Formats: sequence, C-alpha cells, structure tokens
Amino acid sequence: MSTGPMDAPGLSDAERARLEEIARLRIPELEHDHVLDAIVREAAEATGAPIALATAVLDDAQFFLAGHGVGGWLAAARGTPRSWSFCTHAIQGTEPFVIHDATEMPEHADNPLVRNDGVRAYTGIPLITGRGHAVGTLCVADGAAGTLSETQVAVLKELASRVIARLEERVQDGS
Amino acid sequence: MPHDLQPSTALPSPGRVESYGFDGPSGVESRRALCDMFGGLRGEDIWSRACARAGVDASGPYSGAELSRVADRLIEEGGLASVIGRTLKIHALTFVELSHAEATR
Repeated sequence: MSTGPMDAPGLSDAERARLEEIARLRIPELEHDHVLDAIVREAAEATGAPIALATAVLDDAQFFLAGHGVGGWLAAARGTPRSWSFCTHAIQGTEPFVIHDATEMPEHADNPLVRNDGVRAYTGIPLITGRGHAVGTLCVADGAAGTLSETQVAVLKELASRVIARLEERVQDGS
Repeated sequence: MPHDLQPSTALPSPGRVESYGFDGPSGVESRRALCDMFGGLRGEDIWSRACARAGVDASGPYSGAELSRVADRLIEEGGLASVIGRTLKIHALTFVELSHAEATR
C-alpha cells in the first residue's frame, strides 16, 4: 500500500514536511514547559504587550505551547482553529508579521478573535527550525492598536531563537 | 483506491457556536485528515485503534468527551497522528468552552 504524496491530495509536500517537523519536535505531546513559560513572560515584559504566546501552527489548529496573559476559553482550549490564527499568516514568511489594527483591515476585522475577543494589534516572529521549517511563532497581541519599536522586535527575534533552541533541547534530552 | 475508504460526512456535528461561527468537531474531519496523511486504509486503521484504546465505538457518532479521549490516544501515538490528535483536542475544547460561555451569557 502506498502512503506517499499521491495518496494525500489535500496536503502539499511542503506542508507535509512542515507537519513532520512539528511531529519530530514532539510538539503535539507538549503539556507544560517552564522554560517556554519564562520566555513568553520575557516577551510580554520587553514589549509591554498584555498577551504573549509561543504557538505551533498544526494542520487545522494553532496550539499554545506557552502563554502569558491568556485567560478564559483561550487558556482552557490551549489554542484555536487555524482559520482564526494570525500565526498561520506569520509562518508564510521569514520576517515579523505585523498587524497594527486588525479592526481596520477587512481581511481580519471579522476574525472572531478580533470581533469577539478584542484583539487589535499583533506581532509574530516565525519559529523557523534548523531544517528550515516554520513550525509556529513567538507572538504578542494587544487589545489596543499599535506597533512595536524596532528594538522590541529585535528582542522578540532573539527570544524566538530561544524558543526554537528549547524545542530542540526537549527532543534531545527526552523531556 | 484508498480514498474510497475515506469517511463519509454522515456523522452529525455536535452543534454550532453561532457567535463564533464555529461548528463543533464530529470526528469526520480528523478521520479525513488521517486518510489524507496516511492513505485511506492506514488512516482508518489508526482512527479505529485510537477509538478502541479510548473505549469508543469507532462507527460514531461521538460525544465531545469521547472525541477528547480519542484525541488523547492519537497524541500518544506520536508522529503525524499526534498532530491530528492535538488539532482534534483543541477543536473539542474550543467547542466545549465557547458553547458553555454562549449558554451562560
């Protein structure tokens, strides 16, 4: 029986390889990680954003690996459907993905996280592994419109590299 | 052809959270994702084994609690099945949490 790409018409080779990288890092099994908790807390402190997250973009959901300032249903679900995720846009590139005010952008204004949960500003740094796959983001979000300074984005980039290092470390030490 | 074995869409959704335009998972989406990922035969086998380990009738329909248990078994499976399992877990929890919030509003 073939299980090759010809049997997966809804999944591109690139997306399959990206999901395999997420599986290799054992991201779906991650329950709680104190190092990631500390990194997202640093991200919130460095940017002044009320919400900071380390996320993975799965096949049809975004998964919160660690979160700061996240409460209510988002904390309980530890993620959202992928179609609501700003991070799914962020992983399409290699540069920071920035939304100054989602309520002013027709493509994002009707997102339930904007319409119902009040998210307006977002900055996401793609988490790109050593093998070149964007598995998720380190991101910050705010209920007020705004844009981070260059210095703050630089700090986020450095913290994003620490998230990737931690994910690799977890695989190597089996934690 | 393996795709002939892909699940039908006959299983009902557990409901819809109107304020979020969100349909709760029925299990069909996850079975289809497994078939897309592994081919129809192997995808159905992975789903059936996860249901068995979760004590759930694989033919469905599935309650939210049953889907959550199946999701946990898929996550334990590791590999690409765990990605689909985590997605199912998030969709199941999202539905439970949002429908509860909508009911108490």
